[in-house]
Amino acid sequence: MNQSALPERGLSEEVRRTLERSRAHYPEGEAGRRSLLLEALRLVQEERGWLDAEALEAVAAYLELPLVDVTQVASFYSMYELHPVGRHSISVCTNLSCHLCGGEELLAALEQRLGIRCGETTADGRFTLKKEEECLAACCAAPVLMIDHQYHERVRVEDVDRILESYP
Amino acid sequence: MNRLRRFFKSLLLPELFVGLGVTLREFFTPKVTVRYPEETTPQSPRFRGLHALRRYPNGEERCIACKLCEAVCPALAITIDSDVRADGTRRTTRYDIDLFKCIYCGFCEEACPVDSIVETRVFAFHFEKRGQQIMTKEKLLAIGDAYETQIARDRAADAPYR
Amino acid sequence: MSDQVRIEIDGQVFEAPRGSMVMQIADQHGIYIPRFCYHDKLSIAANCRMCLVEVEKAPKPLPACATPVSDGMKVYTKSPRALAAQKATMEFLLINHPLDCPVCDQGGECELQDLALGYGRSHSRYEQRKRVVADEDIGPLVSTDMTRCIYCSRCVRFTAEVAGEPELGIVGRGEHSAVRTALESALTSEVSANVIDLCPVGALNSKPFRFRARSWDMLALPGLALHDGVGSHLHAHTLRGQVMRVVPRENEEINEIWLADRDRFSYLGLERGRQLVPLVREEGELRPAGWDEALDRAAALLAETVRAGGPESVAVLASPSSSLEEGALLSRLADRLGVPGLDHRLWRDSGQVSTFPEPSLGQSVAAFAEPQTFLMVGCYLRHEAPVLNLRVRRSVLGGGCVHALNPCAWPWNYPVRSNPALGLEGLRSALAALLVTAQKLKDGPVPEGVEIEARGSPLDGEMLERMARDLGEGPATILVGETALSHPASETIGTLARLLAEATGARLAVVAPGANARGLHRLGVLPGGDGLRPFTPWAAPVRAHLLFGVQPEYDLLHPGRALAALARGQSVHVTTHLGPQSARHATVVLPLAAGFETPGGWMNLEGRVQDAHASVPPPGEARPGWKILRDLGRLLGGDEASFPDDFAALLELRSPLPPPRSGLPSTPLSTGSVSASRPEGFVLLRTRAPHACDPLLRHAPALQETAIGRRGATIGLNPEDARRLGVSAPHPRIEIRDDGGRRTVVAEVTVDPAVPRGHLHLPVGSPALLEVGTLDGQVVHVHAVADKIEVAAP
Repeated sequence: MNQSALPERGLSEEVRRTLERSRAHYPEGEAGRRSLLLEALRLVQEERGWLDAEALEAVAAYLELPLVDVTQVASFYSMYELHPVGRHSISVCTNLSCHLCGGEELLAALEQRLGIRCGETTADGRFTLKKEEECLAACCAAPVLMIDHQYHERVRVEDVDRILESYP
Repeated sequence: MNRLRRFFKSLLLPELFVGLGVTLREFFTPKVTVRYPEETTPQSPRFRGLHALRRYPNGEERCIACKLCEAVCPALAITIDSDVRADGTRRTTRYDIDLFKCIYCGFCEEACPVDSIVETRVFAFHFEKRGQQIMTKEKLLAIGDAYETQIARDRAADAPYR
Repeated sequence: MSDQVRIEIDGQVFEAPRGSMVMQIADQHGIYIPRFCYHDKLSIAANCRMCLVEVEKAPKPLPACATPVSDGMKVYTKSPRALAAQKATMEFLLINHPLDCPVCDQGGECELQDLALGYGRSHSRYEQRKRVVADEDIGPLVSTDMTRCIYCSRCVRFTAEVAGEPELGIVGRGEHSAVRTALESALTSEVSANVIDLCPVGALNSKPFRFRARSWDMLALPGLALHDGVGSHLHAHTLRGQVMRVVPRENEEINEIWLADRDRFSYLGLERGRQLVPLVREEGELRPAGWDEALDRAAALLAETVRAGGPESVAVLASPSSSLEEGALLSRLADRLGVPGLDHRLWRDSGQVSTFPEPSLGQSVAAFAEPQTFLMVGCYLRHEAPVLNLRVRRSVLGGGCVHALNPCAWPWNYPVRSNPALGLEGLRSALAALLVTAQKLKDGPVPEGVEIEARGSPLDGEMLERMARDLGEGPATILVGETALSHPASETIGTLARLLAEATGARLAVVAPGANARGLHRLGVLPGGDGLRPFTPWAAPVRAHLLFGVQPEYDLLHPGRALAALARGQSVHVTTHLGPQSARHATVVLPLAAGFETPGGWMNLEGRVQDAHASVPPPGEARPGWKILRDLGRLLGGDEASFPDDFAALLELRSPLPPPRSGLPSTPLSTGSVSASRPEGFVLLRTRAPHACDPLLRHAPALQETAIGRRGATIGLNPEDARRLGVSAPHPRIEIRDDGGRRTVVAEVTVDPAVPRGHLHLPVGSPALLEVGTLDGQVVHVHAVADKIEVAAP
């Protein structure tokens, strides 16, 4: 098929070991390898921070999938980062419940505090403000803020500084 | 009675005087004859005369070589070649109208999506040699440049009805 | 449960096979349901939603393309509910579609335009800004206007499913999705341009055709693709006597709806570099001449050479894509002169008697899609007959399998069971070893000499056994391709392949290059009229050549020998394009009409005779080949004068075609020892470059800029050899010296893992590699040329 000359050099020993273990959970053959793709991308992103072209190629070579398929998946899910990001990623929900409870104001406060717009990273590489984050599924505690998969609920604008300080 | 009337009619030639009366009346009414070429009749803004290709105010030619005028022309008078211009836009490399074939129906003008090909009010033109009846792109653009003010005014006047 | 169900569509009752989709049944019975993403030849995606129809008892409208039929189903395709759903879909599709139909090349043949007329609103209710999608350069053949894309994913499915090279994908999500390649790279497939036809809107269009004409302007004239033996059907779209573009003509038995890129874009060569007037040489210079003078000169030259040096002193070589009529006239001409030296097999390397049977597929083109085992012997079908290869791909996906015995491990667009890089010598020994294994498996006798041939086979026993088993089980086809036909030991390979076919019960397919190799073989455009005569066109006593449709510097695998012979003797070039070396040596040049300009019949590899009319007139003073040959024949005293000017009368020349010959002799296999020792230096492995294998293709610039075209202008080198030689740079070059050390040439290199070690893969046909092509001998020595530091070869 699409013969890629790339060796598996992109994937670290550890990622490969984890993936080998996970392989057992999925069916044999191409369908199984496709299913493993999400996990492989997640592991590589955790290791490298974001997914560059080389990482995608390495995953494609390892799973013997066409590169374009890997690209399609990686670009579809908003939690895969295809551009360099800061150490911490901040998501602010602006969907209906949070919007009504002040999500937009929260986002504006964050933007002002960090001096960046949505989708940008601070100059010191500390924070990235995620673009277009949709409902974080915590409407009961709106407005919600998520930093590195950690939820901060019922956040008031004056809490922002305190919360940010806990992420060096 | 009728016979008598007919007799007098033929004898006294009253029609002659009625006719002369008309002449006399017309003698004093205002004249409608236009002394062309010193005088011209008024023209509608929709007048369909000599063709022109227009430009946008920034000097860019309007024509995008969509070839709709060529397709709609009932007399097959329009011939267009098109290609990609250096800046990547679609342009004509040839735009010829054969005025011997043209029947001045104005369909080209109707079909044009960018108001590029138009028919101006110019109707008095002649050719001295075979081949001159082919209006090339350069000639058409030159006509457009020369009459643009008039053309623009006419389009504006007709706009409410289009 | 029966396999048939009864369904009702728009009040009509139909029997339908269980599992089929509503759309398929409706199509079969002529009920049109609007669609964008659904395509007969592709998988079902159901993502455009244009085919929503009302189904009784279903709560919502259902997509007809993805709704399986069930018994008693009642479908309404034109009910108010169905129409409302279709119109709503259309409104959504048009939200972000630009209204640039006047500048869009798809305008007039656009599925979206057509359906918008029926289902669209006259005014948009969407007042916000439309979105814009950045274009991507996906190569010299396909232009992109991605803002027009409606995400039907036909192109994505085509590259993955049909072309077998998943290159396009829908990247991003929601508003940000766009059809993209993975690395913003050009399409590499040999059939990539079919996405142009598949795209229902103007997002993917033909780049060379861009803005050149409108669909309603042009005449669609039926024609044939003349670059391989498949004989694909096509339409030449012409405007004012010029071919503006080529599109496939549907024929389920041959090319279905596909067309190889080179068949689609070869027309670009019609207007470039053409020979427009006859030329004759006078006082060492070629000068323009009238037809009468040039024909007289040509006839006199041939007649006088025969008179002075005997019939052996003239050689006639014709392009393997010449039509049947041209072939028939050529063999009459050779008969008239008494010349035995006549051939169309330009790829032949040896002057031996050929023992190959008539080129054929051993079955119909369509049968290639049936599950079976294929053995490719010196055959890279992907490049030799791309459309046929698509059938093989279908066969493989349906349970067939492919083994390849090729000098290079060329990449296939389907999984192959084995694909070793055998090198030039290894091809011969591996085939012999396979024959030995096949005979041993069934305890058959191994013919004399085969064991000796098999010595030094690079393949292990396990792989050979697997191949032999696959070939022996069920239907199988052994394809002998170009590399085998042009191999220095082609006759041995031919005999081995035939013995292998007999041993395994497989069909033998000889896939010869050219559009009419089978027809010309049948007509006897062969040495001595039957091919049973040794013939070396480039050696004494040949002193004059008649070259018909041949560019000797590019069309021959060993142009060096040919050019030397042309320089020594005299030659008549009947050609569409005159090459630079030919111009130096030719005595008479007669301008020839190319394909698209010549009427005629061509026999494809399955034996189907297909006629084509001329689509456009030839440029300048060029004439169709049959007229030139008729006039030459008349001047040489033949009865060709009796052929009137109309082509129809000529048809009798080829009808009936002679029956295929049988009872060919076998080339004796070597009884001595086959030298297994590798000579010092690199073996030059010559194959025809797929996008430069005839004059038209060579002059089509867009084809040369594709990945295949660019690869065809560079030498292939194994990565390990490259490392050893120190070849590394963005555009690495090497210096190649022939074995005698007489000449040195420099050429650009592509590092290609498919090439075996110790070999240089030399694609023949590209002007860029002419100098390398003229090197003599099979073995060369190589140095890297990198920043003026020369690394010596070991």
